[in-house]
Amino acid sequence: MSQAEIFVGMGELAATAVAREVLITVGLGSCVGIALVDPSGHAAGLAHVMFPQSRKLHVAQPGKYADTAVGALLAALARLGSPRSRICAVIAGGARMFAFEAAGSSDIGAANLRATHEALAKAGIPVYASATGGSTGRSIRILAADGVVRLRQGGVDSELYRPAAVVLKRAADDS
Amino acid sequence: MQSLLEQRDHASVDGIRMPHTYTDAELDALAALANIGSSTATTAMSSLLGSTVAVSAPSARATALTSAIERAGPAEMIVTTVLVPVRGDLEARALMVLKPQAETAACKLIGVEHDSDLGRSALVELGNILAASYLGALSTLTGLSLEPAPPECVRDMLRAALSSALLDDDSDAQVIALESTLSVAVEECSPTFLFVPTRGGVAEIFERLRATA
Repeated sequence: MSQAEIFVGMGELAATAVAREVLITVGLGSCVGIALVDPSGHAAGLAHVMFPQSRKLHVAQPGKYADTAVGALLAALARLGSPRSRICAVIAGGARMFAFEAAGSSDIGAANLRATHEALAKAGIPVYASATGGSTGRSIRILAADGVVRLRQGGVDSELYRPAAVVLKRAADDS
Repeated sequence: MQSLLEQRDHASVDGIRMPHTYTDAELDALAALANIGSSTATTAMSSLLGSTVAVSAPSARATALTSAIERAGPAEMIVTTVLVPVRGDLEARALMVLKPQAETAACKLIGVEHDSDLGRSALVELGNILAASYLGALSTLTGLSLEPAPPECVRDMLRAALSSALLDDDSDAQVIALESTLSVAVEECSPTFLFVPTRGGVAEIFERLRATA
């Protein structure tokens, strides 16, 4: 099975239930990558959020803000047949790469993380793994087939999250 | 050499501020500023490195910040970025970006080992000198007080560094980026220098230019 890579740009989001597809977002600094994974449904969604809150009622690009991205990802996964009860979250990013603070603005990475956790808690989605804060850039990739989330940070690739074997076995039995 | 922030467009994707269109005359005036600023920086860099340094294609672009960052180059390329935040009459970010090859070459010219603490502080100093001379020239031309904050150096993924340095609190709608690439004659050492006013800083520059015109 050859994998197909789908790159999620800054402020964008994507969801898939095609097993061979990999969702990827690269170069997260203060931005936060929100991965929603439904391992038993072979489905996953990913957003690259840049800011904590949208300030408008109708947002043209929901993937840009933490508060709108979570809802939009859940809606997209619901359309692919993933109920909320099967979905967990893995998050990465929210770093503070430079120590400076612009006048009147606070640590944008921390604000992004706060808003992400709030939005996930409000939607009842548990966070199963995270690589956040600090001062380094990160990239993450999720394979829809098994829900494994991989992290690249400081030039090192590692596995950030692997769904429990029992979940995947149940999925295999169902199909 | 390919431009780091290549794109020019007037449309704001999801701007909180109203998209603003700049006239060609305004952009030309800013490009002239970029030219003078980077020429001054070139002189400083030249005396630091003891080598001839040329400026290529200083430009002023009105651009949506997000797409500019995405087009800057391979997102995961490890670059050295020296950030000099600017305060005073306007808020801005001055950035020197060195690709891996340029980093090695710069250290070689300065005479320090490139993957060492000394190498790192030499690059910070290079960025600092470039920024200080650039800002000095801008300040003289516009009468604006531009105060550089202490420089910070990060060696990490290009996209992560640029977005962390440039994205502001609430809007990435549209910015003006002044960009120039400095090329050292004897080595493949071409730092890219960016000056990006934030929070209405560009309006401040135009006001001063009009006042002095």
